[in-house]
Amino acid sequence: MNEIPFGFIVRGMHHWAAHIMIAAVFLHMCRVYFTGAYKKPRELNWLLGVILMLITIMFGYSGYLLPANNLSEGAANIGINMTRASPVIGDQLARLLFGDINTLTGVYILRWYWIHVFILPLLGTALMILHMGLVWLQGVAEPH
Amino acid sequence: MEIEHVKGKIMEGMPGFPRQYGPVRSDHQPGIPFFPQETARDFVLIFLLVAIMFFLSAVVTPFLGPARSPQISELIVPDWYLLFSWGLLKVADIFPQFTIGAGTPLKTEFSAAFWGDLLSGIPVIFLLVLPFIDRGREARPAKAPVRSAFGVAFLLAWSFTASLYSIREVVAQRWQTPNGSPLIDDIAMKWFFVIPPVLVGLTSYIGLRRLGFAPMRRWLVPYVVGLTAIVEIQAAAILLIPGWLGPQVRPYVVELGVFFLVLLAPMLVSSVAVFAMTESKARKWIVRSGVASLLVFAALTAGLWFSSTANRVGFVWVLSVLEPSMNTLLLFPLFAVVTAYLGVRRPYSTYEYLLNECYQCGKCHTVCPVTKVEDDALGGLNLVYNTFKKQHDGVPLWTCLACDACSAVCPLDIQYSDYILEERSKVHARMAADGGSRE
Repeated sequence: MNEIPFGFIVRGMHHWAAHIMIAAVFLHMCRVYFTGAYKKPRELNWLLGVILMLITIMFGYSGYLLPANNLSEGAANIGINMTRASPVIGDQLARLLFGDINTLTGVYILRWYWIHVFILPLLGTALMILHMGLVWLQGVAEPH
Repeated sequence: MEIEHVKGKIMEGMPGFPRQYGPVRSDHQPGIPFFPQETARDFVLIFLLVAIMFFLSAVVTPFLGPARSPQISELIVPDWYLLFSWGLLKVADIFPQFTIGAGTPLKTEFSAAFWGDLLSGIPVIFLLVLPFIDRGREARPAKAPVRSAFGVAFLLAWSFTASLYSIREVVAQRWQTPNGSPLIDDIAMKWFFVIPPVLVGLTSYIGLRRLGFAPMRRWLVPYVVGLTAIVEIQAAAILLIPGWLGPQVRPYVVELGVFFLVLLAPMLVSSVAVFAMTESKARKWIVRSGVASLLVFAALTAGLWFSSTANRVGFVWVLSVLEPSMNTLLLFPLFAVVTAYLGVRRPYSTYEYLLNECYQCGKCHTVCPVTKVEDDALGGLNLVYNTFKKQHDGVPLWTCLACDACSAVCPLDIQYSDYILEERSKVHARMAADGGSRE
């Protein structure tokens, strides 16, 4: 992609936008936390926000699994081992998420591609609409 | 689905939903309209952000690398937002590891990976239950110092130190003593998980309560004096106990002693200041001793590093004593001096702090007699909030009758007329200082 005309800019925008998005989500969470804007009646909105933060981090993680370089391989290994460490359902969950516990086959790439371009955008968009809708209805909790 | 239909069915009268909402809302919050003013403001920020991203994309091409190759062994470092989890995974080997239910379908292995998962999940669980455990009404950081200090300690400091631990191999490789051992050893990095967040939390708590006008000497004296005592005892032990210093460091014991003095001096001054001086005097002594010590430390470092190779080697050996104990020898002086200053500094102006209590209920505006004859801007603006935010004159400074009708109805008992009278006297004082002429 770096070789086609202006491909490096498109790729760069995707990369930097991802990092800036995650930083912005974290900073937004800090602002809401420190100004107590999660308090009644905004508990649901806070929960949606925490789930959105996890979705955003998963976006980033799934994103750097896809280039299939050494970082992707290492990150997939870590992810598989962390998932397998879950009690009772660990192995099944790892197979569901990564397709194959043996990472050398590269099946995880296809599965995480689907998660990255379909599942997470669908979930993320739906929850963002709910999140912003709640702010529209309840009003912004102003910092005092 | 139209908003009116939804309103009728679900939300009318439910707590948390105002009577008016959505685009038909006419009880304006103070501020500017969404369109076109806020939209224009947002577009400026959007364009700025897009410009920054274009610039970064053009100038810093993200690394791609070759397709995965088992032959190439390189240090794998996740992206920065997952470093905290990786650091927690790496530190999880301090927990006991065992298996229960072996040979059964419910076999659970308490491995390092399991503990790492649990540690990574604890912040998420805390965030999810937060609104249900913090049911207090107070929103402002200065009025909720426990929550704020906890947040600074664990949202920020803990995730930062966990991220640092994830790159312990890089740190160990990069900074080494002349004989090849790491300057910051693994034990010191593990203690990073505990000591910096606790120090950050205590310092934030003391600083925030001070903002709320609480006298903090009861906290400051044990905190600052305690940290000073620990550093004194540790420095004395290092210098005086035979065999503590290795044979490579002994030739540089004088330099080490000088560094100890530079670290201890502002701590001793701060301890005396918080214990025995008045606040104004304490502020001056703490700031001056802290800044002086920082400059001397920097000068000594630069002097030893750039003077000669022998001195540079000596400096590295001095660091080999300071850095493994950096949680105490380096961090304690910094936090003692900073906390001493935060605990004795001037808090906010009284009236600004108290006016900030206002949550814009509008009762003051309803009862104020002057607003009945003065021209208002939009209806529903509240007096106290807008005077503080300077968004609308509310009751102009010189037409307030100081009748205290607003204070009588204010749920937070804000003494608005006291504020008006103080502001008027400030203007008079300025005019008098100018020889009686108007500004």
